[in-house]
Order: sequence, then structure tokens, then C-alpha cells
Amino acid sequence: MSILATTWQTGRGVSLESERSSDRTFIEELFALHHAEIYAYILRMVRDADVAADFAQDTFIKAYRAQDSLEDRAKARAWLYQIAHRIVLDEMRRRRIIRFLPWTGESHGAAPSAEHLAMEMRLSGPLARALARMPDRQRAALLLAEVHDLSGLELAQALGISHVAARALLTRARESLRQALADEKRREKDREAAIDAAYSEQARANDPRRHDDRKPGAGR
Amino acid sequence: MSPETKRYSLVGEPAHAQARMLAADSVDAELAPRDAEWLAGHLGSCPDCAAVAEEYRALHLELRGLSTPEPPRDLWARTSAALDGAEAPRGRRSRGSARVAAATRPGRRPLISTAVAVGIVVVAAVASLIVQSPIASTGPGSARSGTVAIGTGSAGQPSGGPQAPLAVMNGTTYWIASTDGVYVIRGAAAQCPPTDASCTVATGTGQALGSISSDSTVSAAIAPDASRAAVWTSDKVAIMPLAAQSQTVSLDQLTPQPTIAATPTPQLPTPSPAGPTASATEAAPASAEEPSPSLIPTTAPSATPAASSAPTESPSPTSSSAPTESPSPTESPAPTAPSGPTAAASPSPTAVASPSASASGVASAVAILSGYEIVGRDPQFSPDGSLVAFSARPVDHSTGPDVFIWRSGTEQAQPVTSHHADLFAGWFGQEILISEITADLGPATATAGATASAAAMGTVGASATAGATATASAGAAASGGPGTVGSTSYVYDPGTGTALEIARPMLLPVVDPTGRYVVYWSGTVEFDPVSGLWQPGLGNLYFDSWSNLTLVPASLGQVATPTETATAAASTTPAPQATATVAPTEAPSPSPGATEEPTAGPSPAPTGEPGAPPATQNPPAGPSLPQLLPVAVTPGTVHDWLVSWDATGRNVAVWVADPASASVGGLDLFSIDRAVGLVETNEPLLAADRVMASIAFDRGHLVYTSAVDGKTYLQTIPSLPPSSALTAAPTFAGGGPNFTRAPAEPQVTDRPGN
Repeated sequence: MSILATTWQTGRGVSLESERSSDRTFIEELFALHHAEIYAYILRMVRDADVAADFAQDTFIKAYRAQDSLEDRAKARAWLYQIAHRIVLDEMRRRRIIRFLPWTGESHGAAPSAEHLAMEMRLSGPLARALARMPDRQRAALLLAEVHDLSGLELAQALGISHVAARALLTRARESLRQALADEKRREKDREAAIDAAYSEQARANDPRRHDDRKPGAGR
Repeated sequence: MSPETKRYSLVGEPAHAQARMLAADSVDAELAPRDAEWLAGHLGSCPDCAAVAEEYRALHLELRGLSTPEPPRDLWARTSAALDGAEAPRGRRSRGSARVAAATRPGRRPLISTAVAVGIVVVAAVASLIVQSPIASTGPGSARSGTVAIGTGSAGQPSGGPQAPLAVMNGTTYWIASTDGVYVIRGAAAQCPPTDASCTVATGTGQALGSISSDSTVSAAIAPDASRAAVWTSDKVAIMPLAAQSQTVSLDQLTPQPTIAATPTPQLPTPSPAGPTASATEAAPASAEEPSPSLIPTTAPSATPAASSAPTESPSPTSSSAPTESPSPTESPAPTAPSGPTAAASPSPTAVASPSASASGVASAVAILSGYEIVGRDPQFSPDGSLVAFSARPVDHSTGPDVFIWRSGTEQAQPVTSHHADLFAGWFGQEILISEITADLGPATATAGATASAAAMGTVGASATAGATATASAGAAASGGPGTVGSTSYVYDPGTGTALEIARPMLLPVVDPTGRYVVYWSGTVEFDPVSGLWQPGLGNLYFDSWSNLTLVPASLGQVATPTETATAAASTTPAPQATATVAPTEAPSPSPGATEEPTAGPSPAPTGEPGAPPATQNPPAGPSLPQLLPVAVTPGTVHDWLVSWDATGRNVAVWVADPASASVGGLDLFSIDRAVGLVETNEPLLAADRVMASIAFDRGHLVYTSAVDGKTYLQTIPSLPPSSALTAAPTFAGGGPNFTRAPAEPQVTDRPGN
């Protein structure tokens, strides 16, 4: 069956009519409906396109293996997010990919990875970096609620916590992001000021009149 | 969702906090009328809160306006293929095709796999230890017949997947369980019925030894005596005691002493705000001329705050540690300034002056580093448990990683490198192995991002010329300049602050506890344009004779912070270290294929260039040193790996990540034929698929966790190597520094979390 041959609806309050379809078909249908948003969520969390693709794949594999645990297929979307969320957090806890930034003599404050992601998702540089600085669970809560439009109950299910705890986490996440973004914007302004100053200094150094100005008696 | 109404009587700061919370809630939810009314009133009289509320709304709009990135076009194809293979748990086992191919290679013993036992039911979130015999075993499936299968992961929540234990030490299993942001470290001894081949940690057992709450995911490493743990999140590292009745520690609220930043390297090019072109020509030669690590002697003060230091967490990073302000290299720090690194001027690591230096442990949790994220290997305790070493970088990625060490009794981790390109490789006795990426990127150096990435593919090690040709030339074509990236590894003594450079280029070497052998990675290092990070590219793992490698004293004076204290530290470098260089020509080759080339290492490259990496294109007819370990699906595809030696140095376990995974891979257990000093690659004691990235040895067993069933297995290791058991290990004239400095008693230096 084509993965696009879905017979059920999606969105908030998913109503599935394919409960009697085969397990494989069910997963294929879920993939067709949700793979883009699941991939996007994972990418926003791990900030690595290759890893995000791997984890998106893993999400559907795990869903396939664990679909018996899905009691209500109307909650399949949040359930998928829960699987993806656990994969992401689990990986972040034990990530062993050996990665490092060499010191090249200049600041990596605007990490290429963040910038690349920012361009791809229309994130401003400061916002991308601010998101990256947030605690994992707060970032997850914020992304799921704000970007992926999960309802309060869906958010709680995806995070595997109570509704009240999810709301509290979301509130903390907003405050964390606000502070981190303010900090990032302040740093960016400082960097721009430093660059402007450097260019100004360079321009003065290259200006032949500057040497004239330095002649004795030139008033400097 | 609506807050309680008691807040309406709030005044002062609580009212502001309440208003901000309500403002955050109101972003995407409708407040109760009374809440909304109170909030409106407060915001009308509080411009600051009104500004915050506006920021919340602006962030809300900005986040909701984000576009959705396109998933890769082949995502369905690969997922579909994986689904085909994923049907195994429902009735049959399926291995990755690549590993099957490996298993059927001529001369290779059929795999003794971690085949899942059919019909086993996961019943609880506790550990299951399954003892396996070596080769003679018919496989774990039969051994586990009737065993209650238990997973350490989130059983009952299959989506959580399997989870490897933190450690298995002296028969006790330690794992971490998380619920709603609370992470509990548990430990329990396995019950091993004499009539059954399985050891089980019964359901519901396990003593809670430590509890941490955090909004970030928490990881942990257990000390050898299990008295404490190093715990870390995405931006903080802490040490906490492990006790039966421990209170929950809020890791997010732990505030460390002024955060120590990796000291900027004075000799490196100063960041140039004028733009990348200005520094392009400066960075490359600087890197090329400074192959030694920027090791900071323990006496060197850490001075400058990193850009990532959160102001709120680093009240005065420079207040007590400015290099020029260091009064004396031997002066003890003031009690209020435990970060004073000058205290470590004494060569003895135990002489670190600290108000609590005499404490053998930590009475309560203490954050030892903040604003940094762990990079590479997990933090690891020294064999005696007195030190913790790890590599970390600022969370804002303003620099690359440096290696840090925390000493028992102190309250801060101290950086021991400052080149921002250093990785902790592991402990070797009381010394640590460090690998440093030495970039020689030519003009591309300063152009971070895609331009640099296109050019910067090189081989690990300056000697990797032959192997680098292809990749470097490709980069040259793209950028106009060849780029080579080298990795130099060092043996660093935290007690003296001295270092020895390993002459052979290698990445993340792991030395056996007896100091005879080493396994390391060699290959290309690539720049990942997506993540903007460097990572191993094409490469392989090699087995080599550790004692036959040349160690060269690293010049601390060149790399240390040029301060009075640094000079003093350099002068304290023990003379024997400088003369301890192994002289390969004096050492008989442990292998028929070993070379006598004095400095280039055991095996000259086919090109004849000294120090060339192991030949991968034209391997010799017979095994020789360095010996390529057949652990990769295809040659050159080892991009993520773990190596663990047993205490005797007779067996080595190698885990290599599957190509499409970062946490699951294949595991091989090899024995060392000491008669010839080579690995028995044709007779692996174990070759298992789908193994989690956590391996260790404990009491004669190899401990690993299957990703298929989530169970932890204990593979029994033969008490004697399969061959040449009575053959004395080769001895080496002069031995070399590492022989004399190896632990008297073999200790397992590699544990889960390695």
C-alpha cells in the first residue's frame, strides 16, 4: 500500500479509521502524516540534520515495534512525539559522537551549525543560539507547544509528565528563552561594535592622511 | 492552569514573579477572568513586567512563524528498509546485513551473538545480567531459557528503548532512572542462582543512591568505590556523594564557584574582529608551529572568562585568577577563592591546597563547572577515584573543547589545556591521555563554515600524507589550498602538570592497564558543514605496542600561560620525565612485522614517509604492527567507537557504531596473543550486533547491553588467552616511561561511560 493511501484524518483530535489495518500499514500511514514534523522537531532539538534523520527513522521503527502500547490511536501524534522526545533526550544523555571545534583564532560565537540551522528554519542567529542554550526539557516543551502546536494534554503526553508539570515547564522555558535571547542579542551587539571599531581602526591605519596627521605639529 | 487567587494580595517581588508567570501563561492560553484582570492591572503599573510580557508575546510570534525544514528525500526509503528489518522482534531475529557479511568472512568464527530470546517478556525497569560463556556457549538464547527478562530502560514504556547501566562494578549494577525530571542513581547486586546461568536484579530492588532534578537530561559516571558520582547536563558538571539516603539535588540551582574558563592561548592568533581574511594567514602557521598541546600546568591560573560564562553564574571570573596577579606559584589560595589554581604548584596532586582538600569525598553535591557541555568521552574517575577528567566546551560554542580535571576536595574543575581543540581520551593509571586536533588549514582556516569545511579534510596526524593526498587534494581543488588536520595525543600527569607527546599521530588512544598495548584511531578528520563541527571521517582502529611508541616530553613552557606561575611550574617538571622517552631502537619488536624505525613508529608507511599512518590501502600480507582491527563494516568507516581493556591486558573489547547510528553498534572481543604481540583477529571471543554504546569489564566478564532486548550481558572471559597462555610477554629493554609508571596492580581503567 502506498504510504499516501491514508484513509483517516489527522490534526488535532486525530480520528483514525484504519485501526484494523495491518501494523505495517498503520506505521506507514503515520509516517506519511507526521514524518515531516517529527523530523523537524528532532532537528530543532539535536541541530544535526544527519542525526535528525537517523532519529526520525528510529522513531518510526520504535513506533512500529511498540504500537501495541498505543491504546488510543487518536493520540498517535502525541505518542509519536513522545517516542521522538525520548530518543532525543536519551541520545543527548549519552551522545558519544566525537565532535569538536578547533580553535581557529576567532570566536565561534555564531557557530556555523547554529547559523546553518537558522537559515534553514528562518531562525535569527541569536534565537537559534538562545534555543541551543536552553535545558533540553525546556527546549523540548517550548518547541512542542509553540512550534509544533501541541495542546496542553498532548504536550504532557509527549513529555511523559503531568499536565500541571508540563505547564510549569513551559513557563520556565519561556523565561529561559527570554533571558537567553536577551543575552545573545547583547553579545551580538558587542561583537558588531567590536567589528565596527576594528574596521574604523583599519580605515584610519590605511588612510594616508592619518600619517600626515601624525607629523609633529599636526595637532595630534 | 490558572494560578491560585492568593497572589492578588502579593506585593513586591512575588507579585512581579507572579505577573511574569501569568504573562507567560497568557501567551498561548486564556487566563481566568480574574487572573487576566489582575495581570492587566499589574502590567499597567509595572513597565518592567509589561516589557517582559511583550517579549513573551514577541517570542511566541517568532517561534510560531518558523518554517519547517524539509526532511531528507530518502527518509522513507531508509525507514521502510529498516521496518523490513525491524520485523525480527516479532518472530525472528534480523541482523544488519553488513554484520552478517562480516560474520561470514572466511576465517571468521560464526558470531556468538546477542540473539534475542523468543518469548521473554520485559516486566520491570530493573537490570538483568545474563552470564554467557565464551565460545562454547550455544548462544544467549539458550542460556536464558526461562529467565525473566528485565531491562534497565523504561520498561513499560517501550518507546524509551533500551538503556545500558551506568556501571557494573564488583557485581553491583548501577543505573539511572528518570521520572518527570528527577534522575535517580540506583545500585543493586545481582542474584545469581547456582543452577541458572543468569543473574538477575529482582524487580523493584535497587537502592537509591543519589537523586538529581534538572530540566536538562542528566548523565552520570560512578566512582570506582561508588562513593560518589560525576553528574552532568548540557551545561553543567557536578560531583555528588552517593548514599543510601540522599536528598534530591536540584542541579539547575547548583551554582559553582566562579566558573573557570579555558584560558585563551596567548600564543594563538588573537581573535580578529576585522574579519576572517585578516586572520587567515596567521592562524595556519601558528597552528603548524605549535604541535604541542596547550597544556596548562596545574599551577597555571585560569584567568579569562569564556564568552559563554553566564554572567549570573560567573560573578567574577577574573577576580582571583588573573595570571599576572598570581602572587606566588606556591601560595595557597584564600579560603574564599578555592579556584585558585596556584595551589597545585606542588607536583603532588594531593597537595592541592584547598579549604576542603583533606576531604576524601564530597559531603554534598557541588557544581564544578558551569556554562560548559561535555564533548567526546564521558567524564571518568581516575582509578583511585581522586580525580575526574573530561573534555568540555562552552555552551555557546565560542571555543572548542578543553580538558578539565577535578580533584577530590576542591570545588572546581580546572582546565589543563587551552587550545580549545583537546579531547579527554581516558585514564592510564593516574595519568590521562589527551588528544588534540592540530589544525593546519591554510587560508581556509579563518573562514569558518562552509568554505572552511570544503577545504578542511585532512588526515589525522601530520604523517598521514599518503592517506591525506586524496582528501586534501579534493579540498585543495575546492578552496585553493590543501588542508590537513592532525591529531596529536599526549600522556598528561595531573600530579606534575607534565606531558609527554606520543610521537605517532593518533586519536583517542586507549592503553591497556598493564602498559603493553594500545588501541587508537587513525584516519581523516572532516568538517561537518551541517553541524559546523569537526569529527572523525574515514578511519580505522589499530592495535599497537604501547611500549614501542616514542614519547617526547612536551614543552610546557611553550604552551603554558606565560606567567610567573607557569614558569615556576615548568621548572618543577621532573627531570626523569624528560629522559623517559622511549627509545624504540632499544626495544625489540614485539611483532614480526614491527619496524625498527626509531621515531616513526613501528610501521613505516609504504611511501616511506616517516610517521605515516598505518597503511590502509595496501595492507601487508601478514599482520604486523600497527595491526588493523577488523571491526568496521567496511574499511574506513569507524566514525564512532569505544575501546575497553580488561585488567590483565589480555583482552580488549571494541565497540564500533553502526553507520546509521550513534548509540548502537557492533561489539568484538579480542584476545591478545602475547607470543607474537598481536590481536587474534580470526578468533574473536565475541562478535555481537546491535549493542549499546557502553562496554566494560567486571570480575572476569565483559559487560554489554543489547539494543535488541535491552538486557545486559556478562560475557565470561577465558582466564587464560586461547593460545600462548604460558608464553611470557615480551619484555622491552628500557621499558619506557609508561612501563615504569603503569599501575603496580592492573586496574580496569575503562568502565561504562568510557
